[in-house]
Amino acid sequence: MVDVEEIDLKNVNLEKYDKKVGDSKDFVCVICPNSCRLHVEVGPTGEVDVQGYQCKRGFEYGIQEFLQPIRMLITTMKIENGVLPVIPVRSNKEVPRERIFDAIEVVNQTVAQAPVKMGDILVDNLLDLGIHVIASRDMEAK
Amino acid sequence: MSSCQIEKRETDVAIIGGGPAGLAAAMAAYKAGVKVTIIERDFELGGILQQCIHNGFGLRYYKEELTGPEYAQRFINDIKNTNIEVLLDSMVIDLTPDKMITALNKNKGVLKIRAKAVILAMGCRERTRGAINVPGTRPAGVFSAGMAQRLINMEGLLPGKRIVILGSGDIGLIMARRLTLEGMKVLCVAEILPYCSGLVRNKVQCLDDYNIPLYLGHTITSIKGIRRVEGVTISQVDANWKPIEGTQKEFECDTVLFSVGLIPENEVSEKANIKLDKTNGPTVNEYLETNVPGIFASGNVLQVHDLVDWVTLEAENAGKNAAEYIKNIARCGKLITPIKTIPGENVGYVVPQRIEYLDDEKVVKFSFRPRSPARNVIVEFISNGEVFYKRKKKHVIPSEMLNLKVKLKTDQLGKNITINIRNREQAKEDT
Repeated sequence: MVDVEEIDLKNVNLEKYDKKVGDSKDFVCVICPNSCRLHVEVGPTGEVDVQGYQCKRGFEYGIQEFLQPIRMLITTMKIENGVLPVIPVRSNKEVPRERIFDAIEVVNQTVAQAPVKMGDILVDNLLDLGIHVIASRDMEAK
Repeated sequence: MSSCQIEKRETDVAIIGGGPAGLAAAMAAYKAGVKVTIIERDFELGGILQQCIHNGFGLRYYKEELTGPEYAQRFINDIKNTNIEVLLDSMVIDLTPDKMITALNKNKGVLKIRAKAVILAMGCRERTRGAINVPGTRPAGVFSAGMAQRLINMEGLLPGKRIVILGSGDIGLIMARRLTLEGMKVLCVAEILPYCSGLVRNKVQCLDDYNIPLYLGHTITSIKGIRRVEGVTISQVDANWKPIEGTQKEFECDTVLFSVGLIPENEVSEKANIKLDKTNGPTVNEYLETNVPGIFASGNVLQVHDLVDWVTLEAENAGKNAAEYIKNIARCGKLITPIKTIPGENVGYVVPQRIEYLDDEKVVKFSFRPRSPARNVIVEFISNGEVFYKRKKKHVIPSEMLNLKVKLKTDQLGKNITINIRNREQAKEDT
């Protein structure tokens, strides 16, 4: 994953993120309602440049969203012996966007056992990403 | 159970509804030192939050991003550590102006609960296909978005395979993503307005991420199918929302979701002779008290909110006010002839609808919504023909409620307070 605070924008490993000189993307920052229009581009020397942001968070979002978009995994998991047949779950950190469907598949192959407490780890080290899938609520046994 | 057994109970504050508003009101009333009873019709507390499994809740109230169930769980855990009485599986069917509640419970039968104060926290319900008169046949496969959300997220059922969604509010957008992740094909989202009514974040992360087309200025003009939905027609509309001939697009689908707005639940309020406003919820004073003394309202039953955090803050206020009403704690200011609040230019409604207590001055929290999106505006509070408060806003949209704390001074106020949202340039020219 991109460490946006540590990354050296003059020396980005472009291959790692499947980017090349001249690539660019225009998108709207979704960090706050200001909705800044961002333009991110790989310059001729391979330097990644963000324009249009008004704050540090917008700048970081621009780099992240350009190099490797990440999203929270939000879905449900089958649960046995619970008061409901499914339990809402989420990842404890964002997952690379292109791995979301793989992640959903892992959750779909897993069955939790009631009782469960909010925050319980239901999938450990999801897709070797070092990310957990955790329960979003308590679920008592039937 | 004998057929005429009626269980009688007494409490200080009875709260109708155990969703986010009811939970926050209960905690606030409890902390103020009165006996509290929550009456909830579902089998558990949490209300609609339990099916809103996505994240984005709590940024304001908890300063961190939670899912709906996590937000609810925190309140449920707090309540477990109190002696707040919780009646589950209990449906309130009647409320009288003297605060006698009748509820039905499968095991206990009829419950009569005598309360000293009541907080209405029933939330809202979804507008349906019938509410917007969509032509066509009436097959199976037509759902409101929230119904589909409950089926998928709580009951583990899928509503269909190929879906068309009407309405680009946040629920419609979030359901588009949810259905896609569960393996269904969302063919498009149609929106009658010329702009997306949900948050940009949701448009990006729910539609753009999965290449789901959004047709703005379009509506469903026909639903086809006899037993099950077989397809829909969507058409572009003109400025008066009239379909334009020749713009029809056909979609083969087995399911249609309607995400076309929410309406407060009013049946119980009306039984207690509570007056309703253009919010479709009760009219209240600055203590969130309805026209019936001791009956308060908060959350989506009062006004449909966009953020649960605002619901919590409003309900905490109602809970505290209800407790103070019981304890006979004097209100800030003396009772006056009510000053009415009036939604003016580009304002849809204002809560509270009246100010009832005032001496020299006090601060009152107002909530209101713009009718249409606007940039570089000025919010003006006007009384006696004079602007007594103004605030600049970079942009306003109908899906984001505005909350302002405003100091009211007796010598500045006449019979009414009008709130306008005006273009800044226009406002300058007028002065």
